[in-house]
Amino acid sequence: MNRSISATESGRRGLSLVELLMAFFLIALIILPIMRALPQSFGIASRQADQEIAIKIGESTVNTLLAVPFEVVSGSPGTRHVPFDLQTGSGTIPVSLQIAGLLGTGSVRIGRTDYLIRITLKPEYSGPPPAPSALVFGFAAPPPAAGIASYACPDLFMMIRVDVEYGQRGVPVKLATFRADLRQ
Amino acid sequence: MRTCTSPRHGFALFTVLLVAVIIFVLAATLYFNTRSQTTTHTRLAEQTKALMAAKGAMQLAQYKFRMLPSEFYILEHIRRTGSPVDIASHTSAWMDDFDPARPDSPAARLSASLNAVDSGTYQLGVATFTLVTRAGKGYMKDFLRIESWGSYNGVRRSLETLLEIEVTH
Repeated sequence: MNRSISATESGRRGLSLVELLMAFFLIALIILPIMRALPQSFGIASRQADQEIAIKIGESTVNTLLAVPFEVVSGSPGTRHVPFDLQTGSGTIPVSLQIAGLLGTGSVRIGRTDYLIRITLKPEYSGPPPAPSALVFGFAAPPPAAGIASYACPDLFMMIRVDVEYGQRGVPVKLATFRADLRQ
Repeated sequence: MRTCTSPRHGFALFTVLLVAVIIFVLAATLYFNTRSQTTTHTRLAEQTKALMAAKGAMQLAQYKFRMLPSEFYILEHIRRTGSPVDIASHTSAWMDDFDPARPDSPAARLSASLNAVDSGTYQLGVATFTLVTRAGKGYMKDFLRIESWGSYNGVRRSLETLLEIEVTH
């Protein structure tokens, strides 16, 4: 084995060292901004996942409140428990809502995030018919009194508002809809 | 002066540059993908809010029918037998409550209430409210076909339902 080093070989070895140093410098130049950007990127992705789950929780809560008997969302006195199941990728998670009067709460933990559900019920319209808060519908009156007639409704028409809070920096999800008293 | 004739001169530097560029491109792709997902998630939230508004409009429509079933059947009779002027006036009288553009209509008031909840702009209304009659076994079945809609910040969602009408005493 020939261990002698020629001048050219020696020169090449020195050049490799310079290349190596330049390589370290270039990699550092590339990696440092990436190391700053990636955690930020993962943070955004994590918050987006939490927000998506919060939207689904809010939607499930609203759908549940549209399906329960109207008494539950009418703001009548007393505490009511409304259970429902959340379908997640890892299985079914039971959730219980407590509604007392016009306010309600519930909570659920999914993964490492706690989600707090806040329910606010508000009578959007309410009778009796002479009250200015009554819901008034119009219709075309049949002859002989032809023209536009109106009918003031006696029932409650509720706004259902659901806020889902999550994490520490996440903006709460706010959903709202209405529920009519469709009881016979 | 030293000259280098080796064909491998600069190969290491080229390799490192190539690897660095590949790493940079992958990281940049990941970063910008995540950033672009923000728009998708915002859109999802807006669509859900619009759908909730549409559900509220659906409740309003069902409630109106529950309160005024005879008046709706009169409207349907006129739609089938009346003149175009009568049809237009009766349909307008029935549907105006579901038009958020009409001041003080229930749809306009409900939209305003939703606007107070959130910082965006809500609107809701009903696009279609018709009677569908189908032949059953020995009798005719009536259904309500209602198409409601809701929008949030310009994102619109519609909801269509077919409800069987039951006459109760």
